[in-house]
Amino acid sequence: MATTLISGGRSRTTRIGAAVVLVPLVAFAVFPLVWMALSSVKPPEQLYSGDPGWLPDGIDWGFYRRVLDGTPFAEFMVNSLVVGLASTAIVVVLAAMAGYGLARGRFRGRAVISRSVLVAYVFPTILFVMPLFILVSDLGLAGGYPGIVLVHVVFNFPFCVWLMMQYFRTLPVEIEEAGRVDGLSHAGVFVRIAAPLAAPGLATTAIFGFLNSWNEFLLSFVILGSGERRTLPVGIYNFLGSEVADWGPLMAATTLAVLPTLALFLLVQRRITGGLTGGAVKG
Amino acid sequence: MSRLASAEPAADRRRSPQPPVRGPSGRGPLGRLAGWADRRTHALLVLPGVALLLAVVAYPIGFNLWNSFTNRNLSFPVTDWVGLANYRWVLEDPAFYSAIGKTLVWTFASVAGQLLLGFAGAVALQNVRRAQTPLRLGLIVPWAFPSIVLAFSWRFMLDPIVGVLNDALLAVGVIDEPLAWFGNESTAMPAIVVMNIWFGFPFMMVALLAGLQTIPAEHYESARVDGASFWQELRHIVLPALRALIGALVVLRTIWVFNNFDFVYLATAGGPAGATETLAVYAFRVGWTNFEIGRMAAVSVAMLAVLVVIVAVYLRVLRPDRDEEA
Repeated sequence: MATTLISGGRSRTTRIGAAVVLVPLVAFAVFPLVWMALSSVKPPEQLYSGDPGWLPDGIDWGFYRRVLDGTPFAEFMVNSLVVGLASTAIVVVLAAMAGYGLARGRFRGRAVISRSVLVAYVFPTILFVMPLFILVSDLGLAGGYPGIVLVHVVFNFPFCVWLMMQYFRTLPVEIEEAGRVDGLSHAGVFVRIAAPLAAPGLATTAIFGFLNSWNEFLLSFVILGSGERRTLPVGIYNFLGSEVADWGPLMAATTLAVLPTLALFLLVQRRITGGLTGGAVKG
Repeated sequence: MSRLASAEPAADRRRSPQPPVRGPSGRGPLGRLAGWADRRTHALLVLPGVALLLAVVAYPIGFNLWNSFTNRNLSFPVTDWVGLANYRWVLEDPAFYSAIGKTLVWTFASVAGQLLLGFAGAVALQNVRRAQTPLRLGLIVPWAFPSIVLAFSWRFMLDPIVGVLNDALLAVGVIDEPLAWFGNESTAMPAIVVMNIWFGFPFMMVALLAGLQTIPAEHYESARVDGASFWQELRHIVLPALRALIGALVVLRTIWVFNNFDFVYLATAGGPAGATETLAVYAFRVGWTNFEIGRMAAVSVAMLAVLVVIVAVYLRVLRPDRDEEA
């Protein structure tokens, strides 16, 4: 058939063809998470009956109450917020500095550093989790906020600096040159001209820095152990410690864990999708 | 900002603590230091970052290389030099070879599935107008969710007791009794691969859709005049145009999936009986569960060797030193 499926011709056949492909794909993509959210509000009798049915028989917040009142979930959430905000604040400043230096500087070794940023970005966590754990323990920082914040700064840096470097490259250099002519030092140009101009880039970097920290599991798992500073992913993981998983509260907990991400997403939809498709967020 | 205010060489003077009337020749040591720092501002700004890069790449590589020759163990205070004993131990461990095989299956099956579904989705999405934006935005969101949420939603769905997949398959008669998908040696690997395809295909779809939209409409029109079929358009127009993008996507995803620890560990922890134990999970078991830092270091060095090859390809494909692209 001489249809133009790919070019986007919209004959009847192509529309049907597209739907035949898309409907199952979309169903596949959304089902697990929708099912998680639906199940989290089912009454316990329904969830654990042999035949749970598709839709909840009325909304029951019981699982959420059990998670929030019966477990340290709220503390985990606070820990995640503290670690996420602190490490993001630090990493954004350092990434902006380095990103600017790499985008504008002409010093020797710049190419090598840009290259190692990209290598660091794809360097697997499993290869540096143990060295960093030993380092942090030797410094006496394992188990507490400073240690995990430091580690999240380190692990987040390559991606953040990459984003910032790309962003600074899109800014017109003429404005900065004008600042030089007006008598600003190089540092003054960075602080007073380039950094304010890069505000959207800084915001994007901050969002991704925070999400990466919020989502991070392995480093937090090893460095925080089962201590009281556990972040959310580690805390949720420990829920499953018992042999038989208590799926109701667990699904309520995982649903709660994605709320900040959803909120950020609704807030800055376009920026976040641009960054995501730019290769962001490790997976 | 006024550009005319001071066009003289005021730039060097402004920051120095000296009164501005004195020229650069009359500077004190502080002024000279400030001038030196100003000329090297860019390099100085990068300096803390270099420390972080060293901490995340150079130090771990050095740590692993060094410790791979020792019997360092978290539960013993004394560490001795043991030469190649760790490497011998790893090379004699059948679980190591099994992990290599599992890693290959996990990586290539996942990336192939993600690419295939992503491509089909992109071509289909290209043909819908109204739903395109919400679908593109909506399907990519879980990409930013914590891996534990994604893995646990699947564990719940595939649970042998309350899992909905068993209910559905029993209802339509595909299976006769509930299956523990993640707990069964023959289904665990396919199950985590399907989960990973689920996670990754929307990203491929969105990226490929962006690529499809850069192909000029005239290319299709001339093909249509020649009476090209859908498959011919695909083969002669779309694939050549997207080759570079697909190459970059495949290389990037291959690295991520190869590196991935979270999904496998959180879904199956490498079990049952090592059926899903990839290299990352194997390294973790050796190092963290058994506290054998030295042996884990040897495994890490082996992983590093594989990665060097993949990353060399990656740097060639992506060419990060190309400056003006943004």
